[in-house]
Parts: sequence; structure tokens; C-alpha cells
Amino acid sequence: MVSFDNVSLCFRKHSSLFELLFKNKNKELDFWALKGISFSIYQGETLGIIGRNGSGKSTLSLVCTKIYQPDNGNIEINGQVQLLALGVGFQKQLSGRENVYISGCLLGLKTFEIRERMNEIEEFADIGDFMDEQVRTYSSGMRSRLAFAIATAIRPDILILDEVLATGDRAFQDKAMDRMKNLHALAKCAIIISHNPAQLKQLCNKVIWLEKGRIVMQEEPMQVLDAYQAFCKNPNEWIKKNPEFFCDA
Amino acid sequence: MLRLSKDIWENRHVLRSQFYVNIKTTVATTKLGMLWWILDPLFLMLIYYFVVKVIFNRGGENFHLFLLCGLVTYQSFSRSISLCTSALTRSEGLIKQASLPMVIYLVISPLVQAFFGMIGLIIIMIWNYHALGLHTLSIVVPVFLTIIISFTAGLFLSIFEVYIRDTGRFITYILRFGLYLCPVLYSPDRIYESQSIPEYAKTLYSLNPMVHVITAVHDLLFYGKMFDPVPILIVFAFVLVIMQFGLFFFRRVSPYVPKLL
Repeated sequence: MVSFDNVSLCFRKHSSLFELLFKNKNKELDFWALKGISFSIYQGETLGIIGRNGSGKSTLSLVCTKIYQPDNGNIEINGQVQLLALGVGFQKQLSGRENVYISGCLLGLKTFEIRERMNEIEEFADIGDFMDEQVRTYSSGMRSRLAFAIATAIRPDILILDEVLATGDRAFQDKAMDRMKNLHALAKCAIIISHNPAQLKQLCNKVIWLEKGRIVMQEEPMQVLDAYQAFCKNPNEWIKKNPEFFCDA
Repeated sequence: MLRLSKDIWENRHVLRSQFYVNIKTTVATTKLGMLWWILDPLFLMLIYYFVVKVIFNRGGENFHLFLLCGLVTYQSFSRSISLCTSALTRSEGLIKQASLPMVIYLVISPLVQAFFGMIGLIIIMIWNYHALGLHTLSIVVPVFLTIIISFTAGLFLSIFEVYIRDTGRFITYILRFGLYLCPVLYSPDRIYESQSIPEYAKTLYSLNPMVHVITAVHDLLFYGKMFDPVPILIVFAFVLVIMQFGLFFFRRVSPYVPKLL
């Protein structure tokens, strides 16, 4: 359903409109956020992505949703992709109910679909009468609950989750995890970006470990996550012991 | 152009909700809310009326209404241009979270400003009810032209703003100067009949599409007659050609915009 073939994406440190239009590019100013990324996910699979801060995880999710255009390589995606983002387009001067419509539309739902799912959203957000109050009066927990309820009301073919489960208190995280599992079961395939190895072990068939925009390892979850945890304890020592993984990083 | 229509149709739910957000938040952020949309041109009208009519003893009969027609139209245009210029930089969060065609961000502001502009124009219609007639219905033509002129300018300016963040500041001054290059404070005949203005300057003046849009509004709401369709049709054709070129430019460059925000 999703296939990346040698995909690279660069950010230019000083981009000019002239350079962009006339392709007179100074290569020294390029910063490669992703380099030579290749992987495939098929129907029914869930891919986990792990890596340190700045490794390119979120950039990869934005490439999957076609928000970032790659500079090299080919991407093939069959189906509707949705990055599950919290609080998209939230307006604090408007009520929770109005924000459900605004955020829902921005996430790709049609007005009648939002109307149909309003009860489900209200029930999950569990904020009672605050649903008709301005969002600026909400606590951060209430805002997260409403945002999560809206974001998970969508039913895409390919679902991308970027650290969305790290929100709210423990009780809400458990509730959110159950909701995610349901959503995950409804989607044809999913990509989960997380810093939590236990979560990835529980949900994924395959995990990619990213470092400095390159794939270090792409295997079964146990194998990748054990190596990643060992790497995180002492990165320099791990690189010395396993130089083959970082030959082009 | 076909792709633009397709994008607008496919994202009509987003457009409707963003239109609502813009109107609701404009009203919610001030005590007087929507009233500011008529208070703004009214205060400006009072200032210019004082300068032109009282101090310089110029301007004809019902000059206050003449001023108001031009000010409401120009203000709607000027705000649309300013908002279109910053449309992409303002929407950074949305651009990186929602995968909408980027052109949608440019459509919202001209529509919202046209809505507020229409409120002002309706108040003028009521105030100058002697000028009402079947021709008044044609007010949608200059309003629509203002929308497409602002959108077309936005196709270029929003991209320039991403690359050169000072664009918006320059635009503010250009728009301020533009008020005097449009027939808001005077009739366009004053320019065309002037002996001291060279012919090439008169030609350049007539190339400003807003001159014809504001003249059409004056004809409909102040003089109470149908506007001359020829200059309006020429402006329409001219804007469509520039818009097509703008869409080509925007589609060529906009995929790189998220990386620069």
C-alpha cells in the first residue's frame, strides 16, 4: 500500500525563489533530512518508526502525507493517507462543538460525516456541558481529550500516528490506547512514530530505526528495538561495536 | 483554472468552515464585532470629508456617499490583498497538519472580505435609496472582480512573502498609496481630463483594474445607473489571463513552501 524507493528530502539553508525557478542550486547549502529511504508496507501491516530527536521521523510522516515533496526517489501510495494530528485548526474563541466541525473538516471529514459522528466524539471526549463553552475555558487535559476524539473520528486507509499517545493523564492514555487499537483495526495499514519501544512492540509487525535521516535497521520489532535500546544507553560505544550500520551516516 | 474549480469543489466543506471561523473570530475578538466593518469606512469617510470638503472646499454634492462607495470597495480589496499575502505564512500550522491544496488558503480571505464589503455596500444602498433599481443587482460583478483580482495577486504575493518576509510590509505602503491611485477621493474624469498629466500616465492609470471596479460601484450605487460593460469585460479577461499564469507559477513553487515555513 505504501512503497518508498530511495527517497531523499533536503532542506536548503538559504533558498531563493530564483534558485528554485531556474535550478541554479548551490549543493553546499543542502541539508538532507532524509536520505535513501526505502521500505514497503502491505495491507494489514503496521510499521513502527523509532529514532532520536532530529532523526527524521516527523519529516518522514510529512512525506507520507504528501505535505513535503521528496527531492529524489519514488513514492507509491494506494489509498487515503491521514496523519493523525491533534487540535488541527482549533480556535480558542469558539465552542468545543464548533471546533469539532472546523477541525473535522480540515482532517478530511464532510459536514454530514461530522454530524453523524458528533455523539461518538462527545462520548469519547467526556467533557460534558463544556462542549458548548469556548475552548479557551478548557484545561489542557480537556483540550487534549477533545482533540483526540476528533482526530480519531476519521477512518483513513493508511493511518499515521506521530506521538499522539503521549497526551493526557494515565487513565486517558489507557482509554486512548484502546481507541487506537480499534482505529488501527479499521485502517488497512498504519505507521506509528513513537519514542516508546513497548508501544511499538505491542502494535507493529515491522520497525524502522532512523538516525540522521538514514535507515539504520529495518527488521522485526524485537530485533530493532533491542538494538535501539542498547544504542540509546551509549551511542558512541554501540557505533564502535556496529560500524556497519553507520557506514553512510 | 479547471483544477482550481476542482480543488474548490472538493474542499467546499473546509472552505465553508474556514469562512465561518473567519467571520466568527473577527466578531469575537472585538466588543463591537461586525460593526467595525462599517465604522472603519465611516471614520475614514469623516476624515477625508473633513480634509477634502471642509479644508480644501472640493468634492461635489453628496460627496460623503461618493467617498463611502470608494472606501468600502477599496478597503475590502486592500484587506484581501494583505491577508492573501500572509495566507501561507499565517497558516504554517495548518499546512503542516492538514493535506489541503495550498491554493485553498488563498481563496478564504477574499471571500470573507467580500462578505464584509457587501455589508457596507448594502448600507450605502439603503442610505442612497434614490439610486436603487434593477441595475443595483449588478453589484455582484464588481464584488466578484475584487475577489478574483485579490486572489490573483495573492498567487504571487503569498509566495514572495514565504521567500522574502518583508513583502507584507511593502504591500502595506503600496496599498496605502494605491488609495490615491484609485478614484476613491475624486472622479476618474479629473485624471483623464487633466492637462497637466501626461498621456502615458493616463494610460498607466487606466491599466489599474481597481479604477474600473470602483467606477462601476460609483455608477451603480452613487449615480444610480448601469456601469459601462466594456472596461469591466476587459479587466475580467485581463485578470483571467494573469490568474492562469499565476496558477502555473503557484503550482510550480508551492510544493516547496512547507519546507520553508
